[in-house]
Amino acid sequence: MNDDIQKAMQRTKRYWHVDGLVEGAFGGVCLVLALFFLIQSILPQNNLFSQLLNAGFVVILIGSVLVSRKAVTLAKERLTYPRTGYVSYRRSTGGRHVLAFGVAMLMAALVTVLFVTAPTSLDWLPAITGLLIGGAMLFFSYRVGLARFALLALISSLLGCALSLVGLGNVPGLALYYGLMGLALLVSGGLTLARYLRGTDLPEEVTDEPGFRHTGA
Amino acid sequence: MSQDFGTLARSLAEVDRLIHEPARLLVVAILYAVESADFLYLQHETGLTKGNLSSHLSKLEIAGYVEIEKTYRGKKPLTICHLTEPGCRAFEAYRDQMRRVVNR
Repeated sequence: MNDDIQKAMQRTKRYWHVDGLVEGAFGGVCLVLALFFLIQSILPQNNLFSQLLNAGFVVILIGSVLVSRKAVTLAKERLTYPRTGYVSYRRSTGGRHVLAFGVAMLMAALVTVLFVTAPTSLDWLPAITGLLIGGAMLFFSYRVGLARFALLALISSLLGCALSLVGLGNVPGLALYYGLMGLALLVSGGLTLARYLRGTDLPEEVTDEPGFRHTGA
Repeated sequence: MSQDFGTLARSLAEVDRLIHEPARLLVVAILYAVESADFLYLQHETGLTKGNLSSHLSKLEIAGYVEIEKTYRGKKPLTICHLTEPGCRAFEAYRDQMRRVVNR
């Protein structure tokens, strides 16, 4: 098929990432996690606040993801859709959800087995985290054809391995990993957004497109 | 040889003319990749003028390949387009036909 057609289809598939807002939001989630691990590393283990924080980890994680998703939607409605239009994507099929869940469970089981059989391997948690997130980013980069995600994957892997080799320990190591990775994502997202805004103009006047009947108001 | 040429000619003759037009093919290919897209996105991606895009979309709508919903986001008009099931099938058939012709 015509190369232009293939390119247009590929561009449409990666349009969600054209403005860098998603990686910026993911950077924000990473910074929340960095703060979480930083507080954990500062507070003594038997401290009540530390224990409460530990218990609320899932709530903090899910809450920050939900807030970031809402922020992305609002920002896209103000910045992206008025400039270059709105696209909605098909939801992933059940099979793909099951596959992703299966891979996540397998990885979690492997990491748990590793830590139970060799507790010292906890010090390698930043490296494991960096490699897992890096691997996911590399796969994503290949799937949508965006090179900047391959660079972020490299940064994630190198950062995680370097922090483990330095021997900071698992919790301070994770705090630093998420902090630096969050900044890298924010820089990448910010640069992408700046380039997008420079390359696109807000239409001066939104007029009705001719020739179509109204089906809703 | 002549039999091959005959089959090739038949394949080309069977090509869906409505989709074969380059601008409409681009519109259909974009809509095939997503659930729906608005008029502004299609205009931005195809580089067509409003009137031209509108005309192509109307032809696709009449053929039943595209559904167009005219609505509003806040006070701004929004024209949402999505490929229908026959539209998807027509695009897949066109793609297969073209692949066969090219691979010959």
